[in-house]
Amino acid sequence: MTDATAAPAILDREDAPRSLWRDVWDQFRMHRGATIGLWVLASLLIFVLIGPLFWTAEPIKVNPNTAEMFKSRNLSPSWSNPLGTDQVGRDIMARLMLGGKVSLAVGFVAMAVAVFLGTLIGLLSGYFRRLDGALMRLTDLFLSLPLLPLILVLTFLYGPALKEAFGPNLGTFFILIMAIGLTSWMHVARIVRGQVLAVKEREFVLAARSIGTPARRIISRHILPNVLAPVMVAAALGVANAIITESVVSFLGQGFQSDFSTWGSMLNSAYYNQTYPMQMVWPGLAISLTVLSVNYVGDGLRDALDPRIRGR
Amino acid sequence: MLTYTLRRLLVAIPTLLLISLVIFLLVDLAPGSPASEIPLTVPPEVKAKMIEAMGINEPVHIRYLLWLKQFFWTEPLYAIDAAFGTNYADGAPRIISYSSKVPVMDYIGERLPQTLIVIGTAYVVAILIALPIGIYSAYRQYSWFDQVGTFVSMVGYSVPTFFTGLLAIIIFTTWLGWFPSIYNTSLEVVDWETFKQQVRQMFLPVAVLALFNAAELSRYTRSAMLENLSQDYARTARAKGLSERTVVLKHVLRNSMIPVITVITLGLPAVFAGAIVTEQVFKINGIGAALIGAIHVNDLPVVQTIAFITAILIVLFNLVADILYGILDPRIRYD
Repeated sequence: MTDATAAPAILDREDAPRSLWRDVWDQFRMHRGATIGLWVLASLLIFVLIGPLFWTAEPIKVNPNTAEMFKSRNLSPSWSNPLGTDQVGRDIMARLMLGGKVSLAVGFVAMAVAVFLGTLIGLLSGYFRRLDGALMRLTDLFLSLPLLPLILVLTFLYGPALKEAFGPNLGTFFILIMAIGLTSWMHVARIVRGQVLAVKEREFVLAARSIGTPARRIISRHILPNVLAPVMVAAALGVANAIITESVVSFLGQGFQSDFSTWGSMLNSAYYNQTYPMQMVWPGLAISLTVLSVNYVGDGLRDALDPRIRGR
Repeated sequence: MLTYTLRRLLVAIPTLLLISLVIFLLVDLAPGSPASEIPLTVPPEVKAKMIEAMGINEPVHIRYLLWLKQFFWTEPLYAIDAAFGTNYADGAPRIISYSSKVPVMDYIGERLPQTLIVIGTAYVVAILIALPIGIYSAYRQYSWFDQVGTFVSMVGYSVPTFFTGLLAIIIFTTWLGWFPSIYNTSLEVVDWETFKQQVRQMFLPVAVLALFNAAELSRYTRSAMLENLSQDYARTARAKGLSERTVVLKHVLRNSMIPVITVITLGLPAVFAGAIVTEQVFKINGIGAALIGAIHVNDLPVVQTIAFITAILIVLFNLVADILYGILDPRIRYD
């Protein structure tokens, strides 16, 4: 009972104990670019996730009535089509919403794959000295590979088999996240390894080891939480990288089919319809805004998680 | 320094061999084999002969070794023959493109110069822009120049090259009509007029690529300079009475160059990726366009060779980076 009555008084005081994440959040809000970036990112997410509930124009199917379809091609913006229509008369705003959902999904899932792989390899090579040499050679090897050509080759050669297994759109989704995830884990692995090497020599790890904690529990309970900060920054930047890669692959015609919309494939079809340049401005602007805001959020996170900067 | 260079060179060889194995297996084990491209109307015995002629009935490791031999032994011999009019190669089988039936090296040799000219110019331009901007923004941190520079470099780094390329075409070709949007590969520079034409057609792709690379480089230059400017040795140098110019451009810059050189050389894969995109946007008939074309027609030898040549270039530049580290920081040599 005494705790409950005393607690508010303590919390009001300036020197009340504060949690780490509260500090991080306060520092994050000091970074103007990061705050704006977070707002922009949130509005983009609302636009692509909640927008389709209110804006119900058809994004994929072409109007089966050919005469009407021809009349509705390449329209300029109007009340019924705020951003105009594309070369087969589909509403661009509805396509932007669907495309954004796909692009962001690829970005986040591919980043998750890359971060998982990178953290795993970084933890293993940092903690177990026997694995270190081999795993780091592997990382260096991947860093010297020509990545975009390899992603293109992977999606082209292995795409058809996956498309057959999971259907054209889901198959493309899987091949893209695999290709991007498998080629972008290296930086995370290096960062994590460096952190693990430092954390592993600290006293609390020695204490845990001296009471007989098995290696897997030392890693998951004591080391992993202490290397999370740089992983979060790398994850934010990884989302930006994955979104760009997806749109590059789709832009080059190797990603999603052009009738299904992602921001990259919308740019691709607009590129071949150059009489109406505004059609490429919208998806391009959407990609750029997303990547810019994600990069700013990553910058803000890095500053907020850096104890040397925090609290100044 | 010589032993250091030699040691780095020796480390690069197994890396290259491993990369070649990865590239070879990745392409070779893919489900879409060239044998599936043969029309069904071809009788089975003819089909068997075709498969034998393409050499795809051998086991994987034999094909890999043959490919390596062709790449590192036969092709250089042909290059020597072509250069000196000798006949060392003596008609040994070369790596042949499936689709166009010409030796892959000849095909790539026609395409590589365009790519290297555009990428090389763009990278040099990017470095020349980025270094002064990065140095000055770090020196005057939080000034308006720094604020604007940081924002512009963040934007330049975030906006993908295909979008800046398309925007550049809309603005400079469609509206203003200053530069052509299509790169004319057959243009030969013989006089002043054709030189001007060459510069005009190179302007847009080089500007787009350079903007992207300069943005990234200037960010790293700025942060490396910031870190070193507040170090004790910078204060000591000032206290000795050295001029501001010597302190910043000699002491601090030299120490800040190590991470920057890492970014310059490790950024090379990204530059190649950017080149593939810009070649598509501006219709440059370079190695990236050749790769895309070869992927579309399932031309495996061309795909393998281009991917491997890119990997060789990347490993080569990593080697250059290592040697530059050795020059910049003598401690690294004795590591």
